[in-house]
Amino acid sequence: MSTPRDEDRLMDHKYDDIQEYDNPLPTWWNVIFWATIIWSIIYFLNVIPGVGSGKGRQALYEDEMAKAQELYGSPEQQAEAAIDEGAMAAALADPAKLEAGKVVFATTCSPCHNMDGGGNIGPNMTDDYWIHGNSPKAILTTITKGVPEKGMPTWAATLKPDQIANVAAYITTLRGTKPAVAKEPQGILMTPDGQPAGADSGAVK
Amino acid sequence: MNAQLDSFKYDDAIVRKFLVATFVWGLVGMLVGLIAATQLVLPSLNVVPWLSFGRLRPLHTNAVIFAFAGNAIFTGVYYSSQRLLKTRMFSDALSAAHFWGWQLIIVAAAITLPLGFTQSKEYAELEWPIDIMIAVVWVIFAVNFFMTIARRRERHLYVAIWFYIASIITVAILHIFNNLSLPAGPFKSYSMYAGVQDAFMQWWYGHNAVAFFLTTPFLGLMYYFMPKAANRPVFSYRLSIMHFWTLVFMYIWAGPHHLHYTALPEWASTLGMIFSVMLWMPSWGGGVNGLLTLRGAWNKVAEDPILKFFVVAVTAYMMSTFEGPMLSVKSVNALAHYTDWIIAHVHTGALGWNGFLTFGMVYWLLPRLYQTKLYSNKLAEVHFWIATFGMILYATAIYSAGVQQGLMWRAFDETGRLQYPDFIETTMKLMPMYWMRVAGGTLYLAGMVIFGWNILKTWQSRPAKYEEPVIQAAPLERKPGESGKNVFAGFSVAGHRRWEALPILFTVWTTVAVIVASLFEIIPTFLIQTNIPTIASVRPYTPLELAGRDIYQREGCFNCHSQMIRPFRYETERFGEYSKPGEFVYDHPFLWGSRRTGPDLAREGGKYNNLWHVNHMKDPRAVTPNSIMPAYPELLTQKLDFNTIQKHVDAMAMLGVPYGELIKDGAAIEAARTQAAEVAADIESTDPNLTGLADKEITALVAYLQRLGVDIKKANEVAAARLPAGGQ
Ligand code: HEC
Ligand code: HEC
Repeated sequence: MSTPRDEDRLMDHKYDDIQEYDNPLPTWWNVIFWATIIWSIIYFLNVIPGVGSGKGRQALYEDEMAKAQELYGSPEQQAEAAIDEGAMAAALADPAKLEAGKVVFATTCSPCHNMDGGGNIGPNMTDDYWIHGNSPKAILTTITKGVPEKGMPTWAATLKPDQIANVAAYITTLRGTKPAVAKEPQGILMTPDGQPAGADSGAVK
Repeated sequence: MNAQLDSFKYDDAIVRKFLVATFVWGLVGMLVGLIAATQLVLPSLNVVPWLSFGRLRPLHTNAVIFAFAGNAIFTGVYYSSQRLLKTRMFSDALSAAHFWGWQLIIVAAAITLPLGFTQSKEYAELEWPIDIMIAVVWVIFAVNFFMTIARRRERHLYVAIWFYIASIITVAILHIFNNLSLPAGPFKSYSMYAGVQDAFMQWWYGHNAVAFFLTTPFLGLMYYFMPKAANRPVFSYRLSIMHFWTLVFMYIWAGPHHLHYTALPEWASTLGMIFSVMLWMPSWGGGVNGLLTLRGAWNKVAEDPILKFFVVAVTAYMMSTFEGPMLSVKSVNALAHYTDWIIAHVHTGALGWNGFLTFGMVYWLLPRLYQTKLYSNKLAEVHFWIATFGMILYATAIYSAGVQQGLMWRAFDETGRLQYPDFIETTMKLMPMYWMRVAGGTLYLAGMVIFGWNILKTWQSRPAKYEEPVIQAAPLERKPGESGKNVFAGFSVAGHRRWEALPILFTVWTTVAVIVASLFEIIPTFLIQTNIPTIASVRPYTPLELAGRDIYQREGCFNCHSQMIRPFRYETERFGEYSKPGEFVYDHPFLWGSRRTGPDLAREGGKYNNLWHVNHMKDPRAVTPNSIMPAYPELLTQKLDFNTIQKHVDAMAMLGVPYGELIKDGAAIEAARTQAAEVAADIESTDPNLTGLADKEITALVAYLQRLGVDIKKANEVAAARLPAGGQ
């Protein structure tokens, strides 16, 4: 320490034999102490760019959202981009993509549709009954936009378009498989090409 | 002069009692912490409801803060005050009442917290009857302490006593004002404040509990035991004065830094941040004074485990009081908030500063109190090294866990989507670090066992009867009329010296510093209407939802789940629209939470269907593989207590929640039964295997979860419900 020998400047009091020196405050302590005060005042007044809250958190958030929209499109545009029947058809023809779709299904969808698609909270994927239709476009739409009020989440913001195409394709391959526990049919009986199977199909609720 | 010397004896028996309590509760509190830490890696350890994580975590924090650190404070205060003031404690009866009263409070806490009785405010969980007990015992302590000062034989007060005074006064104020609540049953109450204001009061309290329970009293202890152990004078009296007053005045403002980017008005959080930054040097003043006191004694540190404990304690103090201001800078806080970084920060302080200072103090006291040699200096060394190593393991693990999870939450991929949309994925990444924490905690606890062995063996070699040396000191002469002209004397060193001889004036000034600083923030928070723009579509919880909320509190879900979405894209993409102040006006108490071990639930309503929640609560891992959430199967079988619902709704109505007709006799119960029947019918229709849920607790909890955050979606009021602008 650069302070003079403090042995010379013991205070003249003692408490239970504890003594104290009369040392001055260390210079660095003083400098930093006052610097933080000055910095804080400037920060509070918010007058220098970079020192202060700037425009405030609300404006910053709105800027951030606007910038993201510019870069990646609006949520609606993102959803539209994910409803891509061509990509789904391509996935159906490509075993690697189907495999990728299976992985998405296992990690993201199985909590509600079961690993084998037999259904629990969500409907059975292996039967021919559909609530929202089984045309490629219908399936892609259900997945991207969800049915939030019935417990099917929306996935456009979480899954990428190719992941949605892959998982949609994978679902259609489950048709006719034998799940361990199959949930009772929900919706109406559909033909594989996405048409209602007829008036006598017997809607199931 | 000599003819007039008084003869008296110090009361060391009470110090011995507090010392033993310190060790015993320390062991218990840390063991509970270790169990809780292990439950986070092995959720199956949540074996019985009253030992599940949500109930154990508050038990751990309360035990280490109020039982371990509390008793350590009392040990040191009772030992040092008598000697610094040259008098026996004012009243042996009050000392005993303080000791037994405090232990009774701890036992009451240890029983009620596992039973799920909680106010759900961090470190203020204890319910109102216990809060009253705390207030009474604290007053007993204060009377005993201030009367001891009144009877002192040392005219001037030493710096340690200043810190004790500030602590006793401020803890009393904090405790009373944060715990104001309306009882709604023997162990149930609702906070007087709601939402934003409740959050503000809670963190004004919470932060200052750290300040005036874990910092200022321990600084007082440091100022006594460190110069004693090192046998060196304190480095600088002037620094003591300066850092004492700046610390006491500035600490009080800093609370809102716990609420950055929440629905708290931004001006308040800005104040909290800048006062935290300005607190850096006032805090370090104590550290500097401690470490520089060791100048000329460093050679002793190598041999003496006591000094080693003190050096690490003060170093940990300086690290965490540098980190604190850093964490309160908004941009840093945005990353750290809700993560384990905060947990790590707290443990640097608790394990390092409070723990090590206590260990050093106790080792120093043992031979003096038990009037024999310390059983083993070697074992004290072993304790030091094993605890240091345990602490380093803990800190390394949990700092990296915090930073890593914070970064994962905010990561976007090249398509603008969240990189880790599955919350649980970010949790899984932490598991190796959580195991490392378990290892670190085990080592620290092993150190405690060694510590206990050393205490026990030392105690066993105590003399048959303790000697009680007779102390002689001259009584103080009265100097009437001093205070009047000294009121503003303290602004110079000589003037301050005069204050130190006037304890009443000194105490008044300390109180003024604390209260004035508090009012600067409290008054605007409560009075400025624009801080909390109301939202017409936000309605009170239905009686059934309120019952569900009570269950949510009882189970301590808020220990893992936040309900406060911040205005960042990575938060709103993951959880939905950010939270608005007007959404919480009926939340007595607020349940914003502070750690996201699980996802935020502020907009949970409508995200899944009812059945999902039932299945998830019954067994989270059946729905989300690898979830670390405890299972709550008992909620599907336990009957909901419909009878208390009316009382609870009435209490809320008394706090100003507009329940209208529902406060009529039994109307709330009727409404709850009707809603429960609807919810249960929906669940049972989606899964026919489930039956008879209409009178079970799960139905209320699901109703509550489905209500969270939906009101604002009803009306197109999002625009009207912007965050309050309010200054910076
Ligand atoms: C939280 C539970 C949950 C998750 C997770 C979930 N779903 Fe669903 N899903 C449902 C529910 C519930 C329905 C039925 C909606 C209704 O009744 O309208 C549904 C319906 C569907 C349908 C329409 C079925 C029909 O009969 O028309 C498809 C397709 C579907 N989900 C695909 C998926 C895919 C793909 C995933 C994973 C990316 C997924 N779901 C994840 C709950 C879920
Ligand atoms: C040990 C910490 C912990 C406790 C205590 C805890 N949870 Fe969870 N919770 C989690 C984790 C981790 C997840 C994420 C994984 C999952 O879905 O289970 C989660 C998920 C959830 C979810 C699903 C959130 C979503 O949107 O996907 C809900 C709802 C929930 N918890 C409610 C509760 C309730 C109610 C309680 C109290 C009865 C509770 N939790 C107690 C850790 C906890």
